[in-house]
Amino acid sequence: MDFEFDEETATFANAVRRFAKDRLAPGALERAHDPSYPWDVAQEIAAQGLLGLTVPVEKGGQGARLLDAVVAVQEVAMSCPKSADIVQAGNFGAIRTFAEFATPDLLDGYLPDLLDGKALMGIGMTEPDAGSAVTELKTSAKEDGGGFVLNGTKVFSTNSADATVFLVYVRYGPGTDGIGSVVVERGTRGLTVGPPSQFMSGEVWCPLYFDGCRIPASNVVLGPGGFRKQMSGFNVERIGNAARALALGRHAFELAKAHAIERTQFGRPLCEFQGIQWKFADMALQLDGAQLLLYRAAAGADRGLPSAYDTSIAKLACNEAGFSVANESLQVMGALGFTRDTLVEYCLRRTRGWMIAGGSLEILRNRIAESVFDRRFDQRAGGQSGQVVGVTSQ
Amino acid sequence: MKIIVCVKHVPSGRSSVDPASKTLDRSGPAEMNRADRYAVEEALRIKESTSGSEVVAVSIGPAGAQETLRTALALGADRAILVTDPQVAGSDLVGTARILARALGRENPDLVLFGQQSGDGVGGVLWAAIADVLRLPFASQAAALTVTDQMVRVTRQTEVGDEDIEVPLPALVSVGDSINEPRYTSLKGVMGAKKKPLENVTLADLGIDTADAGQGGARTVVLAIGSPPSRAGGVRVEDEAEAARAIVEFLAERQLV
Repeated sequence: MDFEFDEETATFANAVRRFAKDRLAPGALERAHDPSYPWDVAQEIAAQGLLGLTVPVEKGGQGARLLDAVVAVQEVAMSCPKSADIVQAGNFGAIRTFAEFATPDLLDGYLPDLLDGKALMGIGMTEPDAGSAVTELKTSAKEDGGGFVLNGTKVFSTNSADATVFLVYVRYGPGTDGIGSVVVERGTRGLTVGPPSQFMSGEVWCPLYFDGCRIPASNVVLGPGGFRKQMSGFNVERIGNAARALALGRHAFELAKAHAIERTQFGRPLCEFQGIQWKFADMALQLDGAQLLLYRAAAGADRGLPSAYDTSIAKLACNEAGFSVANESLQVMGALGFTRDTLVEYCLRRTRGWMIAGGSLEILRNRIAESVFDRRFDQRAGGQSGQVVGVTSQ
Repeated sequence: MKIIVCVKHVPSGRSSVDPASKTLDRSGPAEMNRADRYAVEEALRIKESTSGSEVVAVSIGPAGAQETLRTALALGADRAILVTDPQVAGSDLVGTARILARALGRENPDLVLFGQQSGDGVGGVLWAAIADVLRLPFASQAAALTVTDQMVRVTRQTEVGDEDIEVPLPALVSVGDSINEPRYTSLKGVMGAKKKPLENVTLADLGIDTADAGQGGARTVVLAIGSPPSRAGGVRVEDEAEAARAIVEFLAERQLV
């Protein structure tokens, strides 16, 4: 067992770190407080080859491992937390599902601009009545005249304010097997991007209203029964979410550490107080423990086994560690940490959101418990529990 | 055109000198010398604009210096050579120049590029010493360079202004940090670097007698090392309505305003 990166990964991490320090650290605070999507930074990150890392070379990606994408998120986040959103959007979640399952024509039409940072894919999954119970989604796709007509509403969609194209989860028919996904371009007739709302994290989201929105059949990414195919995609996305959460915790930790060395009270630096030392020891314990779980999940996924248990426990640990460490870092920095003059409070707000998004801590615990007991616990009222059949909740 | 770029593996972050051996502690993490990144970038730009060119990265140091050579390969160099031998440790400037000159001479390069100076030794003259051994012309502090068939035109940055000179090839040039903006390593580059040749050569391979290398072959002796003197306390000006005047007088006395 080896806990070190191999030489290539270490070299790549150093290169991303250097790039991020030089190009992304300047302006990181202003970027964090600007809710708009930083297209200029996205194109610079794309030029550096940090988008589509795990997309196969023949599709225009880098053909790298998931671990490399995790490293990229971490290194970018250490210099500019907001810019890590771009790396996330370009490597995990919607783009990955799209790159894996879309037809060659769809890939040709959208992937080059997505990988160049000139386009952005949002995801339309959560609905007013389908959050953690994602398989209860209602947005319908009815076949009509060689195409499909969409009706329904999506909420809380990441990047919905800026996305140029959406991967929308739709229902072709009843049951889990009736769920699939389609591509809908922003501006398509029948799609209304609603008024913006803001999360506590500062991110802006817009409801997506589909009202007789007609799309060609060629926009189908996954037809009926496709939902089960992308279960492993959820696990991969959770790794990206976990990587960002932990990295922002570590970002806050480093700010607090520098503060504890520089700041003098009662005649000595903060780091010389035993109470402060214990805080840092506890934070280091949380960060390192979660980091190992994250690497295990990423390495497992790279071996073709994006295990629900490994990814759930990694996301749980990273979400909790990221938030807890950001919170404690803010405490160490006192009133300064509570201002918007440093990124600590930003890290706190962002890490709080990831305890909900991409699989809430409670759903993750349910998933872990299913693996512990090797049986499925149906959370539906009157539901049947039995053998593990796969992940059907978000 | 064959371009050699010399790169050094230097400690990253804060480095310290071992008081017993009076040599730099190289046990910690290390990376490519910052100034050498500009030389690598310039070599790659010449290669990209001159068909049939080859860039060879060369370093001298312990086995760990392979890491810096791999970085050069990942950036785009075609192959790399590391002069590594236990007897090299402790070589002084002249000894290092003699060894590197032999390694470079074997390759018959058209152009050899260096960073202006290393971040650890901060000598800034190794390229001149190598040029002397090889009896080749050199130009330092290049802010721009253009290669033609038989010449390299160099804009040198000097304290009194820019100086344009032409040097016949083969030649050595050390480049300054205003010459370009170095690229960053890409993942594709890192993966591609694995397949590129990296040759380790010893003093015996270069035909150098071990007695002429290392501390035994050094012509200089480090007598003592020490930290720079701590800064004086300075002058504190309390603001009692006269602070501005006091500061101006302080600066004026030193002819700073």
